[in-house]
Amino acid sequence: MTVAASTPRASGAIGVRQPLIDGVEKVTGQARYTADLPAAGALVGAILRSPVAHGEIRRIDTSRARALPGVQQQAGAGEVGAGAGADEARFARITVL
Amino acid sequence: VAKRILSLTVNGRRREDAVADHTLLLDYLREALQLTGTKRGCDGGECGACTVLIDGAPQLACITLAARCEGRHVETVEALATDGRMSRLQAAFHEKLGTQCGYCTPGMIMAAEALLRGTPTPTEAEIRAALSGNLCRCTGYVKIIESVQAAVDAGAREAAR
Repeated sequence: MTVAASTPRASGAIGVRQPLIDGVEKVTGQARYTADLPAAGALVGAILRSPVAHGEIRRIDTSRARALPGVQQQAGAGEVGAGAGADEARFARITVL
Repeated sequence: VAKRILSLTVNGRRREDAVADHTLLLDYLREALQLTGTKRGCDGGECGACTVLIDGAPQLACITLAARCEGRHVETVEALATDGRMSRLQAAFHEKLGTQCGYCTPGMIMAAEALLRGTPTPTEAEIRAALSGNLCRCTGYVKIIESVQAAVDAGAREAAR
């Protein structure tokens, strides 16, 4: 649905409210943000977080998760490494961050 | 996953849809019905971006199960404009710049809509209280309050005519 703008008439720009060019879309819910775009067929990720703050990581068993139907990939420190050259580790390796 | 047939009214239209028991109202609206005007902000009931009306009362769709809306009337921001005309609140938010990035705007407008239906001429304190569950990270609320006040004034002018 398109909605007509009712823009106030302005003779000059200074001291006059200038409505946003996409204001009508925003107030009517028609504006499309990234999260509103359809993503048919997109893979969905899920993050497993540690139940223990700053816990020691002994092992992470993902065998049951990987065995679920439709699972494409599982990634952790063992798969992608700590991230050489990055200034922050992508995944915790020894202790939970 | 257990599903059920959900019967409800969305934006004036009766619907029956199969939804999983754990489906959130927000996901039902955005994904099943493509009503993406209702925004996912914090996803935890803190920011108000997902505010919709259930039987006229403002509710947070991100912490409401779709199944809880059986037999109810759900209204989203998409329902407010009629025949291509913005509602008074929508026009006021547009003209008074109550919207900037716009992400909080649908929730703000729905919360204000609920207020004005019950209290057509609220005080500024009542407007602030009604919008106290809606966070904005752009405009700083002054223009949002002004926008609601402008809609109130426009309604009063129309009633006096």
